[in-house]
Amino acid sequence: MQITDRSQVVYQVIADEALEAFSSRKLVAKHRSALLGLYRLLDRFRYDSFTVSNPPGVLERVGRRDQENRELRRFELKDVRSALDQAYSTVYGDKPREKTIDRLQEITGRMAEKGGLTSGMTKDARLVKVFLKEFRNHLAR
Amino acid sequence: MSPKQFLEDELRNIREALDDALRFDYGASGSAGFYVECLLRHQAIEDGLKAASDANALYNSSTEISYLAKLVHKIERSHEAEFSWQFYHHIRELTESLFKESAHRHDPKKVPIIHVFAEGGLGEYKIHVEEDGEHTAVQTQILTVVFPRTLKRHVLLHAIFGHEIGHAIRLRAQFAKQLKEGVTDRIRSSGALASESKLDAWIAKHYQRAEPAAAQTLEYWADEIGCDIFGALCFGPSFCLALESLLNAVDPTQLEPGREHPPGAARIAIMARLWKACGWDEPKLYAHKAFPKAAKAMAAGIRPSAQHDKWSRELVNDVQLNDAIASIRTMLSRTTIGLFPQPKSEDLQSMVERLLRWVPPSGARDVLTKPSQRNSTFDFRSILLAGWYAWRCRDELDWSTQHRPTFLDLSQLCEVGMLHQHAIRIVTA
Repeated sequence: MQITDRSQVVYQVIADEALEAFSSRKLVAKHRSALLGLYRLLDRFRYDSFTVSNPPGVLERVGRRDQENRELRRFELKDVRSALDQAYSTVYGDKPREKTIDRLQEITGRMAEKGGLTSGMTKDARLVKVFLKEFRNHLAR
Repeated sequence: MSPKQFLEDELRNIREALDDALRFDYGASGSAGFYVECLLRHQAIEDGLKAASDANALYNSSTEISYLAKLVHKIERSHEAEFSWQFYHHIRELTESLFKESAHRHDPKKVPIIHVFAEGGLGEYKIHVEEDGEHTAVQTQILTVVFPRTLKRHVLLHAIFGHEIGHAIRLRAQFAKQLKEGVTDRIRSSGALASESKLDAWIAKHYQRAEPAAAQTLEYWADEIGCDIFGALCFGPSFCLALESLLNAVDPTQLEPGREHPPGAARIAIMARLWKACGWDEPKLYAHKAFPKAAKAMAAGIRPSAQHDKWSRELVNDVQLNDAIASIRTMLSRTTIGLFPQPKSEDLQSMVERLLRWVPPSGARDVLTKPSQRNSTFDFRSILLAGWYAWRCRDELDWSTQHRPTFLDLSQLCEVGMLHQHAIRIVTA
């Protein structure tokens, strides 16, 4: 299947829906896909791995000279990465990234899986919302 | 009809197609997971479409609807039941294990749905990975394993899926980072793949033609070589032999450099060097007291020409190759079943002996004549190795009948051997 770079739109939708889920428990089930998408994006952020690829099959077009292939094989989520960096620096400043992302994923994963948070997570969840808003704003610029 | 009405109509059509397709129980493990995921996506798209109030939002809905329709179409023509479902089971088990073990502890969706289908053409071996960032309505990601329609039972060739697993596991950011830093970047650190100008010079030198490499060719070639190395370390010598056979068949000249793949001859020569680097050229690994020539023939592995060996060294030198091997080995050795488990030579011997009698290489114990014997359990990659051993050394082995098995015969015997192993695992669990 071919890939196209729709990452700006995709992550804008994910950020908007995840924000709605964090704002109203009623909407968590409806926006579960967005929460899971956010979780996976945080994994990219953790490992600084922002390539989307559609590699050729192991033998695809092997030995063909007439192989000018216009299919998009890979793209980098540069704007997404930049928006995450800026949002992180605004909200969390110099805090160590790995520990913070761990907490962000713990909260997002719990929301997606259980539909709500523990009482100990409420304070950090507020920061997650701020982080999401910042991310969404930077993404739209 | 307004665009929104049209899209609503199309969503209803997809729902019908989904219910219709799933009346049949596609897949060795059923299609429930796939069905539920498609329903969840359908619901999410429907919600999005209801809320869509401008052209951009409608465009997003339209893209998601089109993609969901393609997915449903894929399951409709999967032909999954016709494949070696035992082999598919192992691919699935291996891939799931890699994903599960790499998952972060809070990950609510540790394992993607793995789905198989057929495509025409010899070169269709592929695992399509559904990456995040492409679609909004994804809960569990779907991996689509594509088999060539005509090679249904050729499990010995299916070892080539090792390469595709190398691509697929990049779906996990952790693996993607490790493979980039430890393998791709290393391969591109020097030699012909260090820069576009060096690759242009390499092509001009060997092909006497000025054909500037596309900007992405460096990345593609390094990735492809990396995945060949990954496949070999994951599937063992069977991968190298399957790759050699298939590259020979697809491009008998083996010389044409592609935009996305290095020339086949160079890929095969790299595998020949890896074979030695992994110690697979030791005859004692394949030792058989009755067939000493066979062990030597198997250990000889792949023999590229001196010219192709030189080519491969210009692309990836020994230090780069050894570093890439070490990096992938470290990564796979942290998992339970990722790294190829070298079988003991006596186990390999017993499997080959069974094949010589046209018996699946790893079956249940013989309860009638040897009641005290225990059932042996083998990794499916050992069974593939036994099959390749019997095929490559067929002239040096002593077959029980005058008629020697074809490649397909051996593939099918190995497939049944895997099935037996599955039964043994169930019984002994």
